[in-house]
Amino acid sequence: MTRSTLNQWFRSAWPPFVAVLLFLTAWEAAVRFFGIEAWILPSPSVIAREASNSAESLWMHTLSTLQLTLIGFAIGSAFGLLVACALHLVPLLKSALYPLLILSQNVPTIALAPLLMIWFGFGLLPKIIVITLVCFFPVAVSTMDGFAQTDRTMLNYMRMIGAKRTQIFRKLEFPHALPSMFSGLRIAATYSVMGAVIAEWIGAQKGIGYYMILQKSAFRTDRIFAAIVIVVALSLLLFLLVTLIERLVVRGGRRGEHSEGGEAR
Amino acid sequence: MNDTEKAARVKLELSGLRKSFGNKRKPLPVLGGVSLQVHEGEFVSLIGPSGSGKSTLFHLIGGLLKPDSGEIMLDGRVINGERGHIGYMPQQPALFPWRTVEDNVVLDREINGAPRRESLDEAGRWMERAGLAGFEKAYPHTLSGGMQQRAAFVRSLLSPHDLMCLDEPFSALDAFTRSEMQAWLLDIWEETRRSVLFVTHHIEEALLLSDTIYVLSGRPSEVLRRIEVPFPRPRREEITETPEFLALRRELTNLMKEEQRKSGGTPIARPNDFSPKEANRPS
Repeated sequence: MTRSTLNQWFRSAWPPFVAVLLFLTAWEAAVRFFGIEAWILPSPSVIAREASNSAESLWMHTLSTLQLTLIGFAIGSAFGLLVACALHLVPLLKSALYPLLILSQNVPTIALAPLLMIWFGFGLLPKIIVITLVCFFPVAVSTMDGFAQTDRTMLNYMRMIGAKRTQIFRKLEFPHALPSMFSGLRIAATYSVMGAVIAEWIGAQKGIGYYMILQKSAFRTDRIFAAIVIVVALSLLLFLLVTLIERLVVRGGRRGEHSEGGEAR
Repeated sequence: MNDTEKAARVKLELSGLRKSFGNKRKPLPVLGGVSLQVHEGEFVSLIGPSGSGKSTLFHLIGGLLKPDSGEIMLDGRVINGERGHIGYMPQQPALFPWRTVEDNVVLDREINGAPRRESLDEAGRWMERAGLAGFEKAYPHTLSGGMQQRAAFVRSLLSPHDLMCLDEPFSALDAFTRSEMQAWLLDIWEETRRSVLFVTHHIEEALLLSDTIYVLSGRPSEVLRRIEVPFPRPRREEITETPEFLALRRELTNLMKEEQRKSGGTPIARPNDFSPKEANRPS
């Protein structure tokens, strides 16, 4: 069984892997063939060499960003979840605030970040607020969607046997919304890395975002590329982490299979 | 048998239930004064053309809706608009996919605050009778349709409330599984003798299982006829081939056909056959 899942994994993993490899090869060849200067576009091999040379400082900045991201992601997701529950349980609140919620997403974070720095200084707080702002929305919206899509026959059943509002929420609506909540969390996880980098651009003394700004002014394109690779890796890492937690938390069959009265397996 | 049941206490009594939907200017009367009784330990079936408000009737009994007029009495007490007095089995099994079969089966008791240990013991016993032994820790999607329905039935059987309301529980099953389930239900019911109100489209099923059958008219529905089913208990499936059974079946079929024509609806194509589309339509 382990062998077959490994096989399956291999089968789905090799096409993107080969694609990336081909892309890097083409990049390397192009840079060498056309003689492009390193400060405009460094070749992958140059980037890799530079990354290993400055590994120590990169690692320090990465850890700082990772820490900021995790704190922001946790607070932002918790806030999003709270908003979703509150709006779901109080319909009046939902009709009053839902439009505002959507409006809030049209305010560009980049424009908001300097304002937050002015109000809250250069400490951790404004950065966490930035990440929270980009994180909470996908979590709140997808969780609310999950609540709204609660299976009608199950809801009807719970009412018929006399379940109270809180029981319906705890035993039906919340577990039913978990898969939707996790799709929101997956999006929020990748957003939170972006949010952290943006926050560090605006004002910080460490972190990958700060590092990028620093290297930009020194025209160290190779180091900027190394930083980008790290940002991508961090996003991917968080994404996988959320997926892993989902596997542990969400039990039973996939949604939609339950009411079919389907085939025995 | 029927004499003792007549003497038995009335479990559920509906008197003159009326319910309309729609607005004041254009009301859509669904129930036009339905009265019926379910005695203690009696199996009562409700049959009627599609759209005769059978599900509405259940929602009234369950307290999800309030009747416009009329009374719902349980054990002699009016329960109009009150929830949490009945056990219920819906058309679809509605098992929660994130709960194991065992946890699903005890859900009704859990909602009503029964101690978990005791519920699980009881559940184990009945799951064995339902052929679900060994599936306690399985998730519902791994079960066949018939097994899911049996689990849903055990769930309503374990309800701390005496009255069980079964809303076309076998309509989504194929014909063969359905007849198996009928025999199984007959067996279990004759052992437990719970008070049951059973909604079905299926005339043969009603005749096989019930002590009493109420035939509903089309919208706005009333009780068209009350039939006491004369077959002695314990019953076996073989009674479906006796002349009395066939005569009753023909009588009911004609009654239903006529009613369906009168109500202007589409005729019931084959009232005794299984037709999933027909059965799944909310009535």
